[in-house]
Amino acid sequence: MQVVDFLRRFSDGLDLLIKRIVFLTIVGMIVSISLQIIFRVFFESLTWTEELSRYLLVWSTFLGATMAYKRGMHISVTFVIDAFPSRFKKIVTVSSIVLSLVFFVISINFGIKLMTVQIFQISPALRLPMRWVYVGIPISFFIMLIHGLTAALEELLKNKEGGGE
Amino acid sequence: MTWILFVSFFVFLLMGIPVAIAIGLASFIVLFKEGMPLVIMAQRMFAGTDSFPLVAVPFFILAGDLLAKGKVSEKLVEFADAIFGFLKGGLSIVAVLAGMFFAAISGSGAATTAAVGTTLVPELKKKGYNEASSAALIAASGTIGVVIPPSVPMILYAVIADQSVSRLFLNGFIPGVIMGLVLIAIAITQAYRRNYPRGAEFSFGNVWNTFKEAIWGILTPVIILGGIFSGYFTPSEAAVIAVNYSLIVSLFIYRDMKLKDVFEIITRSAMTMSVVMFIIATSSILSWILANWSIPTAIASGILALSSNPYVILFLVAVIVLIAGVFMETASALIILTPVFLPLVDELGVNLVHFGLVMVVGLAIGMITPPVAINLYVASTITGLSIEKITKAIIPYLLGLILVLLLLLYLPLVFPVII
Repeated sequence: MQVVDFLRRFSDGLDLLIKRIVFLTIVGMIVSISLQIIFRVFFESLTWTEELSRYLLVWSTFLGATMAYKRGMHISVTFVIDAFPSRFKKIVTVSSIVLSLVFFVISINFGIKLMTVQIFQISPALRLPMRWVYVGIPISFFIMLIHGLTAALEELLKNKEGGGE
Repeated sequence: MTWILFVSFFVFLLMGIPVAIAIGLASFIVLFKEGMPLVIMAQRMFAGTDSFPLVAVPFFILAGDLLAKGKVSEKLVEFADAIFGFLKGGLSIVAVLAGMFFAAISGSGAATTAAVGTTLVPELKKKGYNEASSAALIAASGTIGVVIPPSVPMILYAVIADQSVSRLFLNGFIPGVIMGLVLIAIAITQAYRRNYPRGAEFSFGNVWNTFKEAIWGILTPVIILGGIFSGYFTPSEAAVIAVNYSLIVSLFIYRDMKLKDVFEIITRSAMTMSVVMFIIATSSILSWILANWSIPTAIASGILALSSNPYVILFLVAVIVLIAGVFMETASALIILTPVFLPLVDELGVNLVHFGLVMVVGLAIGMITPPVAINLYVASTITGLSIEKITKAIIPYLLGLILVLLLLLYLPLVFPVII
């Protein structure tokens, strides 16, 4: 299946890139808060470090959530569906991925809406246009959409193969 | 409306949809049905994570991961062994003490279980300790990881309930130490019944030598907690200091880590923290709904109509928390239950720091009650024993910890000891 192959490669590539960006956001928080401490103790308090680390936390939360989603790390209750027979389990698994995809689409849509509603808002300390902070949310949900789509198609294909045997 | 919210949430949850997404979907259904502007969803997800106290979450997880990976836990175990190893069943005492000590570095139960388990399990096996029982003891000591500060669940509770993180940390010490003492008492009883061996003879020289080796690890909680309690650093700053310190210790002092390992550890703990933070994000849509329609207040007045005796109600709350801990993971249960219970306990006049400790200890016990029991899974992975075997062996420790929960529930009501 060409589509699945393409999606899989796209999803893996995105993940590799996001892993590096998430690393940078975490290091960014470490540097920013370390500077905050050093400047408060030895010089004068910096005004922007707290705001920067909060925004980096938002970004690392949502981008990190895409990595966790791809690896199936998000907490879920599995002991109920594990008790189902395998055929039924596959149907439930696929529909739960599809429902998740619905949530991602909703979140992309209203994440973009939030950017446009607050188009002139500027952050108090960094003087950063807030849309550049908010954009992390729709981007992350888009990445989760790709990962989820790949997972759903893979699960469906597995289903077909299982049925063919 | 309340019914739609809870029923759809549970249906999504039981379908195997991740907790965070199940919360988001259920909230969406309610907002959509009530015709609310849906941009609230994105707004709340942003506002829920845009918080400086929450910056402490990734870094207490990271500091624990960095130190668990390196030699620090090994040195701490050797030091504890030099002091208590000569006693009968001394290694069990060492397991609990190492767990308590690691709890003062790490903010999570799984990390504590992993750190202590990886170092001690081979030793326990060699000395002929009952394998299932030792695995159970290490899993049970892991629960102390979130009770002795720093603690990720305490940070989450403090942010949700608008309490001071430092005050929760400060009050976590005594319950954490009592949990440790109870576990040690049970372990010693078992050591005598099973006639466990004694370790090497006690010598001051040995204690001093292992202390010198372990000093870098021992300093960590001194720096973290000293900084917070003196009011010199905020908990978030202290968490970053802990990360810087652990990086220096593992890269330059023990040299048990390369820069490449640091990249892997940082990205892995970023995933661990975002699992928790993603639940925080979507559940702030839920808590907006709860607050907007005064659902917790309605629940509170419903329960208060049945009984207004704080002893009875706290008991009920503790039972619900324990049951939630059986089926749900700590952070998700805490994030969902806290806003629901807060108006109720507040109405009763219960101190909210006290209530936070009850929630955290109650849900910590949930880390060793299957089917959802992270510490048991970690212990099972380390020892290669089945969950069933460890579960059987954990019952005495579980009962001991529930006893501590009951003490914690009622003692502060009788003697107001919360600082």
